[in-house]
Amino acid sequence: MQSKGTDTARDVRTDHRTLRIIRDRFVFDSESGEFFLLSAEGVWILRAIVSGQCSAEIEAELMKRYGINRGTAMRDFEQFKFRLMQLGLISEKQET
Amino acid sequence: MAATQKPVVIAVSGLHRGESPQPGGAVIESIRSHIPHARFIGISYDPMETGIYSDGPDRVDATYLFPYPGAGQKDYLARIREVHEREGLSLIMPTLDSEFDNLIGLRDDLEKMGIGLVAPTAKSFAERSKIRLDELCLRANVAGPRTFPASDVTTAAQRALAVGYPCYIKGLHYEAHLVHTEAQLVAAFDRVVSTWGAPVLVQEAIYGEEYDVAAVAEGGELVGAITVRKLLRSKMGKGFGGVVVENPDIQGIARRLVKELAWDGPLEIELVKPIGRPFVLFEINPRFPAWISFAAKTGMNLPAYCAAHALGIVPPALSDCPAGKMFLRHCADIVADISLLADLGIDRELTDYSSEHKPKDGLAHE
Repeated sequence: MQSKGTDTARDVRTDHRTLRIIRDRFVFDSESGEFFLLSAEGVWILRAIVSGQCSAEIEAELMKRYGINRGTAMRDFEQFKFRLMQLGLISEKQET
Repeated sequence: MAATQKPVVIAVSGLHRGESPQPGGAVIESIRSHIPHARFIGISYDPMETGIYSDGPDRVDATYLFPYPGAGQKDYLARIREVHEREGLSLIMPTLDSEFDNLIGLRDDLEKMGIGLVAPTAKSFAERSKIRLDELCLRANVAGPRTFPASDVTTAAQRALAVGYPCYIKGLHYEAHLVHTEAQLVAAFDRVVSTWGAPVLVQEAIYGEEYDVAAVAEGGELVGAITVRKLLRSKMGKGFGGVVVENPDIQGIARRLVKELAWDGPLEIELVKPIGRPFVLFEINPRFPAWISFAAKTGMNLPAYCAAHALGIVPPALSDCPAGKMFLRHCADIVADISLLADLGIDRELTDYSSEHKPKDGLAHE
């Protein structure tokens, strides 16, 4: 059986984990074996953090994409980043 | 593919693949894929072991009922001699923990009969026993659960207070009960002792994600290993699903353990990862886990490697199974005729698998 995501799965390396992102929604941690289903927006933020974008850049992009003000963008981003840390997908050292 | 056509007759135990699956069928399937001309002899203790009646790639070519290992080495060896005279055994691959005491003690006798044995040395086997796990953990710098032996129920209750409730009451080889109260402890103690004898083990309960390593070592060095995180567990805690992980911490633990034990042959390492704490060693078993055919299907055919190595034939190349491959146990019904069960019960052997029992994979019975 062939997954629709076989050809689109991409590994991303955080500062302490290798994550496989399948179909821009499903994140598999290849060290812990844990997996998560994120929203497409969540995966976009995760990729942005891993690629080294700073908080201000990510928040600005969120404001542009979703038409929200800076306060909302900052709050949502920080909450989501904290959740990613709780799940062990990124560490506190991961700079944004 | 094997480089020889010399008759290869491999006896494998642990044929049950029901609710609490044993590894024998998975071992047979794995070896058969590399040594298709091998004849497989089932060592069985119960005519209701499901694998006896399989016609899939995990099937046996003959089955012999054996006395329970508790009957002792003398009876066990006598039955091996009978089967050897009929079948000309090349190799025995035990897959049940309770068989190892007898078989390791019989290694010299087997060697004289020209039968190989896939099992660790007596020293390695003893050092990984549940009763000596603390000591091994210290030597290998691996975290372990606090574990105490107890030969009477009063000592067991005292030990339980020391490790705290809930805790496990375990038999030396099999059976574990999670107990929350002293009343439950007394009942569990009686149940384990009546089945497996004393002492029992009182063990701290550790909660977290469960990981399972299947490996083969030679002279204390890892030859191949595959690690899964358990995705599904049966009521008895058996892994019914798992996903491959690549975890350097686990790989380091496995390397240190096999080195400390100077391990030879197959083993299963069970670990738990509590939140915020390092991996804790739960158990080391001297054989493959029941899911080992999954590893073989993904390029890490460890049973075939062991068998080929023991038989002096070319082993399969072992390639790492990539993280993300997963297995899910899927139960299916076997159709057989009651006459087979009758034959096995009456004759204590089943050597004529008739036309009703033809293999479905195109590989003929030898």
